Amino acid sequence: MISNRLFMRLLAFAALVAVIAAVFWSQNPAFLSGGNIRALMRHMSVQGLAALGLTFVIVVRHFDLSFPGVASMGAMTLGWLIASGAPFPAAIAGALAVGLVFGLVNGTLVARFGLPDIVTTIATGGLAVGFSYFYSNGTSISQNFFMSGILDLNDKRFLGLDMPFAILMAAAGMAAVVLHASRIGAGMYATGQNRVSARFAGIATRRLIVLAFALCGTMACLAITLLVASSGAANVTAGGQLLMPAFAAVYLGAALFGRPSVGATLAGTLMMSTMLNGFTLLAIPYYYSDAIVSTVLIAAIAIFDPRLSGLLTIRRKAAA
Amino acid sequence: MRYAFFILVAAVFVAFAILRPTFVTPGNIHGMLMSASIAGLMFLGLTWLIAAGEIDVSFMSVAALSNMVTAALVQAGQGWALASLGGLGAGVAFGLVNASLVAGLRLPALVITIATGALAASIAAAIGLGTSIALNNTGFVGQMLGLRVGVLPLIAVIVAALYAASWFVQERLTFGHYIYAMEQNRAAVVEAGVPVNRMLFMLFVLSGVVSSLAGVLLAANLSSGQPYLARPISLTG
Amino acid sequence: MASGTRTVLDMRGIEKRFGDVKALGNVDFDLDAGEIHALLGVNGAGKSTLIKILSGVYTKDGGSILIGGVQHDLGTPRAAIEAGIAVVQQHPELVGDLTGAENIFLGHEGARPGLFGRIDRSGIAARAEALLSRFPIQIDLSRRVADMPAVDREIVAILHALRLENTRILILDEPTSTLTEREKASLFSMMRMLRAAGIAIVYITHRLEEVFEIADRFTVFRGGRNVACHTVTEARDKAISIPVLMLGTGEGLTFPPRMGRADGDVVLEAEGLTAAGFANVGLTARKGEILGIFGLVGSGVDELSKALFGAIPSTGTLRLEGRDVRFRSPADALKAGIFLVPGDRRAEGLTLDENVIFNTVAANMSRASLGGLMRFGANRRAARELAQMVDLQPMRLDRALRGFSGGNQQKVVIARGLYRQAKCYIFVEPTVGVDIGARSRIYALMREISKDAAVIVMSSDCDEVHGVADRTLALYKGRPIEGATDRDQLLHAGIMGGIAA
Repeated sequence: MISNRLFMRLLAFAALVAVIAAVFWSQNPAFLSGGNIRALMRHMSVQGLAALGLTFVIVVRHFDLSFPGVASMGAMTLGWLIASGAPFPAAIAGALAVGLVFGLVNGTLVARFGLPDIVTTIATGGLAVGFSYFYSNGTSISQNFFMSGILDLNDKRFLGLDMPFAILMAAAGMAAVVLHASRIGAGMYATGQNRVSARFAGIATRRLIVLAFALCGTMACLAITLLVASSGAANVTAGGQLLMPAFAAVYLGAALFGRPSVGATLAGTLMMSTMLNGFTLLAIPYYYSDAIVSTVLIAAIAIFDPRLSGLLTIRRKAAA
Repeated sequence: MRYAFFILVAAVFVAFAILRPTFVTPGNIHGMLMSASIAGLMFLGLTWLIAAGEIDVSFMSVAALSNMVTAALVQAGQGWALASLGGLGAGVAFGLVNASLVAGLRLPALVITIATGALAASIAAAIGLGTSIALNNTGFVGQMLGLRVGVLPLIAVIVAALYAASWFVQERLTFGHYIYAMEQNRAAVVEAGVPVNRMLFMLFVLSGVVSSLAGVLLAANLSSGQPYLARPISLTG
Repeated sequence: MASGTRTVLDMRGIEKRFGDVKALGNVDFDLDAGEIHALLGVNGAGKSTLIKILSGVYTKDGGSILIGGVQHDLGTPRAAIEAGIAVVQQHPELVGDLTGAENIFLGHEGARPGLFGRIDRSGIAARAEALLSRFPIQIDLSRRVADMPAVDREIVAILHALRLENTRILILDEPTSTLTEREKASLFSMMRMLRAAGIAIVYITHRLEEVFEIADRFTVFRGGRNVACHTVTEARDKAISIPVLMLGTGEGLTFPPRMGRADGDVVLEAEGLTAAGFANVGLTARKGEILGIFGLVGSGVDELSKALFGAIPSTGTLRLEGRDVRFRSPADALKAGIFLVPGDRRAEGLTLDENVIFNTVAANMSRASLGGLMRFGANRRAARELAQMVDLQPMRLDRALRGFSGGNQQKVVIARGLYRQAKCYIFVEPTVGVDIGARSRIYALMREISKDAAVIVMSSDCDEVHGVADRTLALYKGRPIEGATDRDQLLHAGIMGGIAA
């Protein structure tokens, strides 16, 4: 049932990734080693989870700028719970609950009270960062981490996959079912494209918007949990590094595949992570690679913008 | 609706001011006023853009970049005058980039400024190779910051004056009139022959300029270049 | 009035193509100073192409344009404005928070144009005053536009078009579509006043009765050609049929035969139903028949349909199959068994970027999913079956709705309703933007649906309501008027608010 157009896009995407990989491999053959590919998948896991959450919000045509701050608070909540001796499943539940609550608040403010999404989520994100300072006055928390078993989330393997990647795959599978095979996802796409007609079709648009924000907050906290597990400490700036890659992955994916979707977001994440991993391998400092990634994002948005690509096709027609 | 935005911006501003550790040095009203004024300067461009129904989330990173450029130039022995110009130049450059992409090519403002913000932040970090730059003198900018009008720091008075001027432009001049109109119905303003894109262009450049001005002042205020200025509180965080 | 006056506009042999499609072929059109000239034709007949050439939006491919006896090319909107041509769009762009005067002079607030001029509020007021002295109209231009009634907004838009002294030609694109009858009367009096001031008005409308009310002359377009031009007097004297001119001969509408059963079970009953836009409406919809409600735009039909569907709040009694119901949302109404085919299908009815299957099942997710998961195979089969039933053309289930014609989009909305299996179907303006062939099919479908459910048809097309319904009712300024027994009485009730003797 795969249409020709989708097939072409997939092919183009595969070619793009292959070219990027070939360039890195030619610079350093270790790029395609088993160890590095595992490192790449690990990197993808954190970014991918945050980006998947954001995908839901983008599908209902809203923005969430709070999830990095919320993730920071989730990280600190997790760290504080572990430091105060809570079993690690409870600590993780605590972190996810932070994401859920903030997501519900965002969704309610935006969908029910009609507040502007960007400014509202900047405000709630700022609040979350503020709260994250309460636990330890801003210092990082790492007590008890070794004992609690949380590090297993990073170190254990599952079905031959590293745990973080296994978690990403499981989350992506569930997200794909929700977004592409369930009535919830169908309703979300309908809500995003035309809210009035969705309402007239009996779709609970407000509830779906709240759900999208809730999923975004929760998945950002799940992502940060993996990050905390891999670094072995929770700190107040943890969430900040999620914002750009998440937006980049969703927009890059949507640009490549024509609309935001779980597959598109994973593809976007794969591309971002491949580049970042390659730069790391070539010992290029993170600040240069960040610059390259943001440039790629700007270029992708500009090139795939419908008006610009429309212009290109018109030229092509005129030339023909 | 028009005021809801401003109330929210004010709320965010207050939240930032309260939560931001680098800005708030407790027990020192003078220092707090100074920090608040610099932050106010940084926000000035954003308030204009929000009034026009647009957004710029890159401003903090642009301030960090200007801050680092200034610090690096001072450290290299270029003197504060040239260093400040360099810092402002970086802000103008990013203002122009944002303006061309959003006002010129009509790309989505939020995502574009997230990306340009990240770009500015990474350049800022690259300048110091990932660490901050400590300065042993704060030059004429530092002296200027030390000036007072009565009990108030001069800079606080200047920023207050800038806000008053903004209010005047928004309420009494055609520019502000068009901005309000634009937020409600851009098509109507376009049809009236008002160069809407040029106005947006100017606003994005303005945002870059005031952010970089704040960045330069911060270099003197903190006697250092801080590449992660934006980190603890802002979006790029 | 038309003869003996000065010709301000003379368009000869105008040609316009878009790729292979000829939009206008050898079109002639002329305009006298101080006349109101109606421009008529079905959608796609070439009216709007001609207007866009006249307003400089499109460039013509051939022909000549004389304005005041001088050759003009009108390649750009600016050139058109300089030639004295002003257009008032169907939905004029106004800024709600600004006053009428501020909207009229938007972009010219200062002594000189520019971005940093001081706003000269007294100057604006003085200029507004001057404009009103040229065109004496009762309107308070110091009010916020958002607080104005629709007609005043229209007048603000017209004054905006006339603010330049040299404006000689005014083009009004369906200005009455959102006005009530009384507002329309004040718009018409303004138009007569402009006519007296020597302005030539091109008046585009779909309401033929207005032509005789306000116009001096009319030109009919069909298939990219001007097929007729008559004075109204001439048309009245010779009993010229405008619909025949617009549609051509032999293309009449066919309505399915009435069934005339009035003994079906009562499905939906309203008593004293009141909401913003209408008051005290009572109606009964029975299984096995079609109830028709005729009302012009602004009469309250759209609001009535939305109130019955729970999309806007209302007071009064609503009974479904004898039980009192109150719908707080469309979801409630759908659950109870009401389905609305809304008046604006692009904005309210469809998800245009999704395909036919998605749009068919969208209003009945419980049927389209099992345990929360979409039943892809079953949905495709159901959509295909329904698409065949409504005669979707082309039969492309995977194509996004944007790629279908208006009539076929409407068929998908109907398929969606059929998939919902409702007890009562409400159709609002079911054939706006639908070509004649698809129309007949849609009427037949309504009749088909009425065999198992109650059907209510609401429309501003009197012939449609009269042709398709078993029982009729008119809505005039939000007030129901019953008792019309034939087409003319129904038309009279909807337009004048009473039954003709």
